[in-house]
Amino acid sequence: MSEQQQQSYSLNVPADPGCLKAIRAFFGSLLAEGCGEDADMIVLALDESCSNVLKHRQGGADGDRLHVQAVVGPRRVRFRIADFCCPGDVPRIKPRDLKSVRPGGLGTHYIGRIMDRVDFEPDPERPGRMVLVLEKTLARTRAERMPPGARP
Amino acid sequence: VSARLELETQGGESRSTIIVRGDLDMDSSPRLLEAIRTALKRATDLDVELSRVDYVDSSGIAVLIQGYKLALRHAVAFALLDPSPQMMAVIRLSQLESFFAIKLSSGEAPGAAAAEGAG
Repeated sequence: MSEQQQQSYSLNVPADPGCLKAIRAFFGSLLAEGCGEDADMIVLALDESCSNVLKHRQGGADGDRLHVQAVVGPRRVRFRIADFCCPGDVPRIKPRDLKSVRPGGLGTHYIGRIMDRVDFEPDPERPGRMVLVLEKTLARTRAERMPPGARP
Repeated sequence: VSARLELETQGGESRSTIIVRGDLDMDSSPRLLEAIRTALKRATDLDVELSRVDYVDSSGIAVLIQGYKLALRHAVAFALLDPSPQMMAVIRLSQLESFFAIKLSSGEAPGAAAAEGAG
């Protein structure tokens, strides 16, 4: 992504389930314009990732805060969710087999299906903690979604 | 900004409908499970009306799976009524469109609604 075309946003909220709606509202409104028909599903993947942080945050470096950064370009969106887990937790985070119908484990399946890239990276600001990185290539750019006569 | 969820249970001794409005997420979906548990104490048929659900995530779907399994244990017929397009897209993403009994008041096949709601 060219730096001139991409925009960066970040949100730092209390690590509380009551804040999930605020996260969806904040990123949903900015993705609606840039991501078009992909926006709802990208917000779902983001919400599931933040919910996982809230469910499993044991020994988090920042205790009670959730940090989400988004970089939105014309063709690509990338999120970094900080303080996601410890390096030792990563091998245990897997989607489950959907043939067994039971309540848990659906969120990881959604994230993997919706996003093109789901990776864990060491957090440069919080030693010993991992950042979850999500990336999605958009089906169409904002300009491509405009009627032909209205395109820039 | 907490997830807004409104639940209303209608019906009599045997047939009950829980009408769900708003967002079903990690914060709010336990309330739906409680409403389902309460309704199952007296209903023989339970519909969960979902046309006004604005948002659902995996915790909302998990509650519906739990509700279905509880209903099975109580020998209660359990169905999802008119899932909203976003709800239907997430049911489809979960590959649960054949697992749940889905009723559409329009008479349209659930598969058609799923395709329309897919993201």
